[in-house]
Amino acid sequence: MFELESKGQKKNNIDLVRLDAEKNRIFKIFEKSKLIEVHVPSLLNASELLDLYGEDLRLRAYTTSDPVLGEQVLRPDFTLPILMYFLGSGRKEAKYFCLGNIWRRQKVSSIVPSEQLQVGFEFFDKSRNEKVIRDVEAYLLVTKILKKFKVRAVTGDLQILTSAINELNTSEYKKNALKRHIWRPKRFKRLIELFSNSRMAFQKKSILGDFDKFSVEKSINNSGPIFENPIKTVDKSFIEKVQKVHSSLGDAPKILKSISEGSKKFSLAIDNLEKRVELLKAGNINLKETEFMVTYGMTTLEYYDGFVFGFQVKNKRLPPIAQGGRYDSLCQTLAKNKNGFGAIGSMIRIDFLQKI
Amino acid sequence: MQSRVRIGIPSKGRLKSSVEKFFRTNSLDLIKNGLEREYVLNFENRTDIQPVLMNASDIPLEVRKGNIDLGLTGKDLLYEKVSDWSKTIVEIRQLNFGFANLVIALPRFWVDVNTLDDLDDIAHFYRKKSSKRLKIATKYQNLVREFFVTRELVDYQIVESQGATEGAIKNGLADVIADITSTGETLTQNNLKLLDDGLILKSSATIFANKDYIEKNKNNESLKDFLRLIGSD
Repeated sequence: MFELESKGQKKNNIDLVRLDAEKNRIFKIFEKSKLIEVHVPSLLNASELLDLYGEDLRLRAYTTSDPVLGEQVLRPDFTLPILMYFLGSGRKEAKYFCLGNIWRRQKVSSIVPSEQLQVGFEFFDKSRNEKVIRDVEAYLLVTKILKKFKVRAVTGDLQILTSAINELNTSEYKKNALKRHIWRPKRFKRLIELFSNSRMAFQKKSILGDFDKFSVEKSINNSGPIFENPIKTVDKSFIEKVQKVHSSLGDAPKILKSISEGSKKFSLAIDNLEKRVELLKAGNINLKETEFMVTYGMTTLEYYDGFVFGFQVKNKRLPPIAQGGRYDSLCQTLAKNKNGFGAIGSMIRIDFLQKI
Repeated sequence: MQSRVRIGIPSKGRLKSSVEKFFRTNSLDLIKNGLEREYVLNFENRTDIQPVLMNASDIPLEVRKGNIDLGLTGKDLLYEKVSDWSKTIVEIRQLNFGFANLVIALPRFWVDVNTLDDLDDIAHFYRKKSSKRLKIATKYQNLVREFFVTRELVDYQIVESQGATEGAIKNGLADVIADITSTGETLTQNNLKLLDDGLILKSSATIFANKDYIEKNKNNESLKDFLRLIGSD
């Protein structure tokens, strides 16, 4: 017999009646919050996505070949297509949502189907001042949708670690390298070790021994950024302390303040977090039951750079039922002329909602 | 009647003569019946085992698909071509020939790039400056990509190269290459050097089989005899 699905493919048995009811419920919530439904293409141009995500994209997404259009990708999420739609619309701010399938390659051991039904929404804000308000708005919207489900909320804020790195008394080169690698914990750890060790200089020199005649050694030593301003032990342990912060959301600002010792940029990030926490409290969020982890969201998608959140169900093998965050620098990269503009969004796995 | 055991072997190239020698020392002489360039071979006095001459890099996937039962080729090709090899393939015997390493090589004059960390640095600054990604030419896209994921390298781009990869840098097609080398001579002659921690895979020739086939043919006398001859356990 002819089979439509390949052998071993994980099936997403969806109860269509329940799904319809879920959809209607969510659409009503979106309508009430003045979100507009948009339709975005399923097939995207691979070269743009590859430029943003790099070769890792091929491990996550389905790429296709097309002799006319060039390489195409089946959308792995809604964030980028909705962002592109927004940039093409000429608007200054917007609240969009989109419902449909996304496709992601899964590991052999994963129970997650490669074709998933998701709803994604994105808020685009035009000025910096609105950010915290939008963050809270987006978060409250997700909690509203998930109200009837038993979920555990985890939040994070990538600005905390980034601003802590900015406080370091070391070269810009080192700070940038660390900031660039906050998503890669192993490399981050290795870099901190490397940058706090001035002995590395000598090892490097011996490698260069052969090239004496070109006097390359001299020029590299003069510019060698690895050897300048080693990170001090206290600074290193400061970063390590910040990384370890894992508490309830309500306690997080207090704990972070006790580490900060009044450093400016870091304090600013904590202030933002505190503002956000206060607004969430006003929105009836239980701050005790909501977790906060400085490193939350740092192993998954790279484009988040501010407030991040995820909602986990009891079954730990299932991925977060909803996940989202702020991605201002991605916006800046793609819309070079719009200063201060940023975005926050989230996806909800609508097909998993009926399984919990 | 049991059908013949089909084993894919490389039709030409470096591996071919070592393969012939290997079979000869294990009492399996390869003989040519047809014309000089005809791709037909047999084992002397054995009609129950059929060698199938194939392009070395096609062998793994054909074994995976079950079009042939066993294969003999480089481990590098097996791992590159069959991403789910751990589930679908059984490695029967590693052979002590066809040694080669899959390595990352770059221009010798990049004196400040000796480790993956250095390469990551360079890739980042290159991307920042030119908004282009550092290009890596290779025939082994999957192995390289996996290696870079585990080593947490980003900001690069893979360029496919089906041969003469060592020349890709000089020809302006790539900045770095990942390729197979046994002595390193071709790399040296092309003014390339290795990264200290850029060894992706240590490869050698290997005999492997389709997992389903092995499970279903536990009592196949020809297969048993063949496995005994080539010295698997």
